[in-house]
Amino acid sequence: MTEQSGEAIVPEGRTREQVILPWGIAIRITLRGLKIRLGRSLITMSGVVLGIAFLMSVLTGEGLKSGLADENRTKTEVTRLMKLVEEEVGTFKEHTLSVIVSGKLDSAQKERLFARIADRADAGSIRVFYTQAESLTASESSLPTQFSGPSYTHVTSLEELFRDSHLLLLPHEVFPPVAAAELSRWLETMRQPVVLDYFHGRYDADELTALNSQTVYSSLTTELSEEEKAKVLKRKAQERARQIWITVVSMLVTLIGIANAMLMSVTERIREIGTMKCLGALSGFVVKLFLIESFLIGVLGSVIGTVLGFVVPFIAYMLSTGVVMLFESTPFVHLFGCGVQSVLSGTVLSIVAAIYPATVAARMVPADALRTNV
Amino acid sequence: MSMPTGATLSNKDARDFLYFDEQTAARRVVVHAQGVKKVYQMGKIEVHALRGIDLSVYAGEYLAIMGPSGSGKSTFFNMIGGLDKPSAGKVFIDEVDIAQLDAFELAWLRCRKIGYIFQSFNLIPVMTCLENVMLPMTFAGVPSEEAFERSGEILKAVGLGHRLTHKPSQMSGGQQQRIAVARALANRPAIVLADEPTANLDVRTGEEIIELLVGLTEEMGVTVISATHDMKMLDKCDRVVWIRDGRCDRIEDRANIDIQVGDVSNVH
Repeated sequence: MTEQSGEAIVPEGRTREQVILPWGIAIRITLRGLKIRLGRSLITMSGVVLGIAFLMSVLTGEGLKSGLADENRTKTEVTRLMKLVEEEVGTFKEHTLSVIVSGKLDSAQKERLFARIADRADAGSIRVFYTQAESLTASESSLPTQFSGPSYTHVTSLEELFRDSHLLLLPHEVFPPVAAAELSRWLETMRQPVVLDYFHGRYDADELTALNSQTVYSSLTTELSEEEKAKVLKRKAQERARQIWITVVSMLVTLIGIANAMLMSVTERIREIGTMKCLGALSGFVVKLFLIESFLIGVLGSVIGTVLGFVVPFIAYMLSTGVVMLFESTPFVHLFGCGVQSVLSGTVLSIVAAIYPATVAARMVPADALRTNV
Repeated sequence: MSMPTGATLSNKDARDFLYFDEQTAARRVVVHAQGVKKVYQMGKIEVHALRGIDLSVYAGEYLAIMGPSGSGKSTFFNMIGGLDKPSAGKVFIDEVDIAQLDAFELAWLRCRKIGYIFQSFNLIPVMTCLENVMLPMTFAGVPSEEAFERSGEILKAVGLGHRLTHKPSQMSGGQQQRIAVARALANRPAIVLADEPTANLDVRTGEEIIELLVGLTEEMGVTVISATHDMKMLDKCDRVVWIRDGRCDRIEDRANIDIQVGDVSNVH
């Protein structure tokens, strides 16, 4: 008889500290397992890649489409605005325009409009008065960068701004309030008093005309009727609903694809799990090993899937709409956000889809796990 | 216990005689099954796999559990090995009711005190045979240097010292079972449970495995419990338990049974 006979089978106390699987060893075991079962692991990963690529391509497609649609809308709007302006002024040649600027231009439309106007105007024929103050008394010493082309002239007094000018453009919504009466006084010094207001209803056209019968007042933005507003809202709601539907369906497809792949990769190893339990592995060990494996497969698969899901629609759109247009209209920031979300959801999904069966298998009594015939 | 009759008293007989007669009082019960029952629920039907079995296994002995297919032999085997839970009754390993153990303690038990050998080897296919033997040591918290060395030694002892870095799939059934034996003995357990270890092997290889197992475990004083059909395994054991219809049919000492194995010879 050896020393075994006297020793109790299950000692007290020290059990817990001895039975741990260090992360280092777990990672090593997992990496080696992945390397050796490379083919199988790649197949599992391709399930993740496809699922995420699909999701990302849907999101990218939606993003590119709406980006292009926005771009078209902007272009159409700017053309319309140019027409309005030219209606009032005729051509820009030999005409002087005055602009009162109180800050950055707050929309792509406005920037484009001014760019177009600047293109067609004579050198120096657009006078810009720039103020940050509450009233029109103080002028800033230099112009914002959008107004720094050869067509623009910086003026620092209202007298200079209005004298012999043909058109006053007011591009901002928030604007130092100028009483109609005061404005009218300055308008009288203009050669052709036309006021183009970007926002409807800032001044009462009748009020202005009453003060100065020569003044033509016009607003660039059109006011939609209630009916038209309702239509726009409905269309937007429909568009939104459609987008949500598409996103939900594609997420379901992704979910099923990934869950299937990970479930398979765990289930076919239930016997191994049972064996490990016979060797003394705790449920936690087994789950840890599968956690690391599914994390690695999930992250790598999601990253590859996201890149694929972005590049493929991008190239497809590029072939049909041209590179420049595409780069201008692509909402890169939004798509980057979508990409990050895809990677995160792919990883989380992979982990959850693998951990659940792994936990079930690890909790099984070894006899049942070993009986499995996968 | 009567003295075995026969012309010559072999060493084994002498040892058995001494063991049973002079040291009976000192025999320690390592595994004790008390009224063990197991019922499986198959839809609406209840299958009574075990109908109440009592058995004591003594330290250091080699016990064989025999029984026809469907008798509950494997089920009972799983019960006393801590691989499954009985529906009723208790199993004591070294006077500790294993149903009272929590997951940690059960894992500890399986890791350090019990070694398992299976009919279908159950080796981890992605690991080399050295790593397969190192695995239970890793779970036991043995530092990897020591685990590496000890695994090498054990594998040499089973005759596989020259194939340490090969994977199970590259080896024959007999060699795989040797790895399994090495793995079962890796943490110097008190009990080895062998579930039909020679069933997937041919006659010669099976014999080798039995020799190996018995040889190593006698050295280490390990209790061996095996569920088997193999007559050659019976030959080496100390006691045989027959299970039939979920009950313990009879228990015999090896000395009291006569084993006859058929052989193939020509008619003329």
